[in-house]
Amino acid sequence: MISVPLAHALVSRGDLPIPVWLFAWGAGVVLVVSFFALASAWRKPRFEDAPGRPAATWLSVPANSSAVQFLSGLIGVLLLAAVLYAGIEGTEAADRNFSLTFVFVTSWLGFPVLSVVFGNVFTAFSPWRAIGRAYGWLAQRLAPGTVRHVEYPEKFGRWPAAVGLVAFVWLEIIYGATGAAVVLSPEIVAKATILYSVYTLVMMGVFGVEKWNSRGEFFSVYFGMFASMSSFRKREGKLERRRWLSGTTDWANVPGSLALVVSAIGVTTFDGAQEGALKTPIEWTQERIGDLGFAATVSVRAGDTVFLLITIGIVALIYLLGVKGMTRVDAAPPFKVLRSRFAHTLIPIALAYLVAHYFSLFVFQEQAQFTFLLSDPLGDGSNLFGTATSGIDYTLIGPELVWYVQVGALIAGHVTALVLAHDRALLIWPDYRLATRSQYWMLAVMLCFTSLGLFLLSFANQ
Amino acid sequence: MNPKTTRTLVAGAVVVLALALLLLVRPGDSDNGNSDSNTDQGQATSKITGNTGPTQSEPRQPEEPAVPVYRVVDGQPAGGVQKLEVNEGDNIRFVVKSDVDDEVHVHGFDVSEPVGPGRPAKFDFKAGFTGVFEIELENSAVPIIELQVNP
Repeated sequence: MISVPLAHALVSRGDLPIPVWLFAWGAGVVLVVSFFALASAWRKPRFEDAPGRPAATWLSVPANSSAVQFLSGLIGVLLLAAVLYAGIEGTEAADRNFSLTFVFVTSWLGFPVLSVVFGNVFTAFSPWRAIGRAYGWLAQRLAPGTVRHVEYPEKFGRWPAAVGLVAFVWLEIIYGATGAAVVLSPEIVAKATILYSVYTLVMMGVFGVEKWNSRGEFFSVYFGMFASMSSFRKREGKLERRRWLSGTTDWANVPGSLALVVSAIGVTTFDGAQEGALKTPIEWTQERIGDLGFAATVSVRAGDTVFLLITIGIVALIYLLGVKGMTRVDAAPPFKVLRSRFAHTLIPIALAYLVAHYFSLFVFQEQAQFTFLLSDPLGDGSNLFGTATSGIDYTLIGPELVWYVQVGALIAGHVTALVLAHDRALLIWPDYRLATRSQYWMLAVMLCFTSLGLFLLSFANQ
Repeated sequence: MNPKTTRTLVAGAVVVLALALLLLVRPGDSDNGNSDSNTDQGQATSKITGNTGPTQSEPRQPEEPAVPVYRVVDGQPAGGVQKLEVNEGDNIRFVVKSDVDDEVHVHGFDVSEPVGPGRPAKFDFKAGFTGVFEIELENSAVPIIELQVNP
């Protein structure tokens, strides 16, 4: 038997499973909410084509100013440099090195939350966009007219970002946590960052900075997905406000968007299931692959990879079955059209999964980030800000709070997803009764995802 | 009031009611069985008498309970990763015996003891907070025990 270390190099403390009584309550509330959502909903779309209006001056002036843009870009570049420097020069102990926590927790989990509230703030801090824009500006000055871009093939849409997202999570929870002794090391993170930076800058050079930023640079695209829920957006360089959630309605018009949101849900599901419900089948597969004569590390990674892809496939299947069901309603558009027309309704589910799975990890790791990882980023005993000796206070949040946040996030995600799906159905089926009938299918889809989410966090997934 | 508004109000009321019930009715204790009260008493007693012996989650016996021993054979946990479940506030006591030299590290609580042939690692510390924690051989990064601290 092959033993596998904890999925995350950083996790010291795992959450206790949701107890039976809370599980029952959560499931009950979800059911009640769902039935009333069907019965008492509105009859005219409320979120489609909601107009934007200019944001308040005190917000828009700083957000639009080039000084702020330059400064935030510079901060992004400096932080990228810090990740590389700490990764290469710092300690190999994953939990004592600035780079791992900063990339996988502070940025990866922090920006989705920031984006939902404030819009796509990552765009401003993206080091690659900043470098690309600086380069473009310089080239324009030195040799005007020489910067030319290849037109981005729109049929690829957000597919490169979806692939990038899966690759990133693969690096974190599969490559980084396999074999008897391999843990994701800061050096690997630094090397992967260099590789990704070169790739991104080349792609920006070929297709244009903003184009690649909105299609292929997966950090920006992934955070941008959550930002579509926000009431802030930037359009033609101006900050706008609009109705909350209304930005999601046209988010999925680009090809590959469904793949991105499905992958986002799938990777979190896999992370939650790999040491619970999927543990036995994964180990079985790994042993079969090992029997074929592959090294232990290879078979562990291969087995994990197979199940990661299967999990993403199952998430896609649940959604597509629901869409298939909707095509049976009278006057329904064809499957291919419906498929992308409801993709945006999964964004709240993706967010709910993220919050439910990583809330406690974020709270605990950020204590490390802002104490010893800030004062002693390389883990070499320095104490820049005098906080190097502080640690993580695991008593800061109790198990009950974690459970309530988890169940609360899932219920909120469920309701938001139903709201968006209902709204979209009203646009597709002007006949209210047909719209409601189509939503039995989406209700089934959302119930699947919410119960799956509850299951993953519960005693049953042990 | 038109029927739609009424229905919306009813839906809202039901949800609020359900949430209120959720907060009020937090049985919790019933799920953990009767072990909780025993543990509390055990703790209280040991504090008063200054007895450093471990508190138990099972009905108390006059003798100290056997301290669980975990074995590492060829650098791997015998019989796979073992599970150790305790309650918050208890003393966590266990012994790891290993046929290879390494260091046993309890994540979260951050306690380590060297281990090796003829040199078992003995642990005795307080479970100050809840959660699920990995106990591993630090140098080879092999997990041996999953420690669960229940509230």
